[in-house]
Amino acid sequence: MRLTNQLCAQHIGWHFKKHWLIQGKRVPRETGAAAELLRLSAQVRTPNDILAPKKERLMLDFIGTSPRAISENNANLKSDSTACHYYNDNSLLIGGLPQAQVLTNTIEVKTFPPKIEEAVANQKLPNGIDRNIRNAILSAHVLDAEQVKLPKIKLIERPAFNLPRNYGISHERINRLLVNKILHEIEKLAGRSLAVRRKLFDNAAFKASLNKDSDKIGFAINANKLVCSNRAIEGVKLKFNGNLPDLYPMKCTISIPKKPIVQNDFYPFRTDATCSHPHTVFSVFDTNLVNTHGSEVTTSQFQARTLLKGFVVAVARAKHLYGASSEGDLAKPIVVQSVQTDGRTFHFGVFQLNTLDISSKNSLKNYWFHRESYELFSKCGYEAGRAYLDNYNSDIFRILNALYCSS
Amino acid sequence: MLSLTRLLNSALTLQPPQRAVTAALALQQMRTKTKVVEKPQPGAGQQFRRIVHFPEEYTVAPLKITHLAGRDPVSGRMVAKGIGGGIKQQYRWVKWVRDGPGEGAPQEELVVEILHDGCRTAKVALVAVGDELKYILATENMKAGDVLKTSRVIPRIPVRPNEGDAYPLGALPVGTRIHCLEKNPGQQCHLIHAAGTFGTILRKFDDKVVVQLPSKREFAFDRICMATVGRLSNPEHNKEHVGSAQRMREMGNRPRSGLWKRKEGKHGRKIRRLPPMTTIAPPPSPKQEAIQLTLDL
Repeated sequence: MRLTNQLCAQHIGWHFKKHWLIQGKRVPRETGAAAELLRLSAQVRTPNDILAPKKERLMLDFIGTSPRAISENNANLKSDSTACHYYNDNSLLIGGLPQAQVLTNTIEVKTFPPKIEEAVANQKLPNGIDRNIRNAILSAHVLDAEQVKLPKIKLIERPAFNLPRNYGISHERINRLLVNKILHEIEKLAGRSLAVRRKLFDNAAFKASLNKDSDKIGFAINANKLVCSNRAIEGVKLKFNGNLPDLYPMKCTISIPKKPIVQNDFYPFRTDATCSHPHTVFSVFDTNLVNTHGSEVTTSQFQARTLLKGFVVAVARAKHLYGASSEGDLAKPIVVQSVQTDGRTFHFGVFQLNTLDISSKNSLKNYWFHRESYELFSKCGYEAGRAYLDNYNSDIFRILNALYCSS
Repeated sequence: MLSLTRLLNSALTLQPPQRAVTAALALQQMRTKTKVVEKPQPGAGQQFRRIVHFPEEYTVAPLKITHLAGRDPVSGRMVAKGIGGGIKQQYRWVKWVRDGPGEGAPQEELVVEILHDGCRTAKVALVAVGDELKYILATENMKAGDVLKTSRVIPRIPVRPNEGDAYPLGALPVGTRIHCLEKNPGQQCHLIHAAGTFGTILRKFDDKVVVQLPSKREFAFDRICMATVGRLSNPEHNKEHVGSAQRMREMGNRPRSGLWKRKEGKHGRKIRRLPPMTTIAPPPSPKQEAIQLTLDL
């Protein structure tokens, strides 16, 4: 029969199917039966529990499988007693240098220790040294043969642009070459008598844990280059007074994430090793490192990182010397020099660990001697096929040389 | 009964059918059959632009998103037209609840940085308190270093609030500009979020506070509903020109047409008197879950 209006008026077609789509869904009316049954202490179960019971999966313990890692998003992290604030190479202090000072109970002194200031001012360098350093910078930044894909560049004002990928020398290699070449020049200047008293190490790991006002803080850092000496650096005898900066309403542990980790102390040398005294820590700043919230690293945060590198090495050394359970003021301060660079900017500092007690109540403070950061050059690259270096700053080599020679 | 005997007969007489043949038959039958797919209705607070991959715990790290291009993430069917493509932005998880002490001095928070968030029009502020970092919506004049106050106390005399402070509606003086308003006590502050918008406290009666929302409509809220003081940042947003068709595509909108209806008034001119003040109803009780009966028709 033809499908006409007359027919459709009589024909119910898919009516039942359509009707069932709506009527097949029912919301059970609340009768209070479940509550009554529970009151009579009867078990109430949904039909699905009986009709389609959940099959428990049997977990088999195979030999050789690695133990399951504890999830970092552990909900009980706050109540977990083993959880500690964990600072590593990728951590950044949001409060910058003031936060680092409060965290490590340290007073900032905006000059180097007198001995180093004197050495920087009075050292006599041969005439050709600046040319050698310029060559070292050029060979690290421009002339090295490594060609790898560099990180993607995104224009903020034109986010849809896909720029062609650049090839060049990787950031890690630039820094490694630069530090090695400059240290080589310094060693040549210092001569054999001093060079035998220093030893260089690559990628030395340091770990330490401390308690600060009811918070546990674990540190795990990596020194890209470590200079060790056969004698410890003498501490500064002068007394410095000052107050710690006020971070209110922030706590000093802000932006250091809490992790369920039991941090042990670790120092990479035995006590009886001849050159086991930490002298200078060189750390490379990874330019890809950004804050957790995605913002660029500020100068203050950069400087805080230098301080903490020196602090962690000093604490690891103190715990290595006096035992892991040692606390309180040190009989003899431990001095570690810290240098941080991103290939262009250099920041130097000297950390003096007077006490392992970093709680806010302790009146004895640690010292951090530093100057503002230095730029090694303003521009470096190829122009018309020739390597060029603009505004080379010779102060950096002078300071590095003074730091290397200090004892 | 008839069918039962037919079934028995067939089972006795016929050979067991081959598997491949039945599978092909089933597929053929499915092809001719219309599959009923339930699609959600557009609107009702749901947007089909993106899914944000929220982790279990709150974080200030920018979150990854997945573009939906107007599709329902459950059924995969198109729900909203005109959405698709665009720059992949990162989402910053704003903590809507401004929780302060119920008595005593207000909690103080420090603004660390004002940031641009690609997924919303207003700017967001990174705020530090204790050892916690969180995002809130930035107000017009907020800058890094500001100290904000948060409290749930309602004093007898209204407080003198600064921009960015969060108080209950009852604690704020009449005429205050507010944003991030709780609809009902305990609900997340989800009213007045767009760039440059603000609500105004008009008057108070009994335990209600009347607020004029950006739509110019007046609503009476409970006096313990939390609100943040000030006008939201980026007030020039509504005067900004898109500039080009390509910019529109970068924003994730597809070419559109046919929306302008002069006579019906849809997206057109329509001037009516505002409805009278409405008292906000308490939140609806949670819906009972429906049972799907499985009769195969």
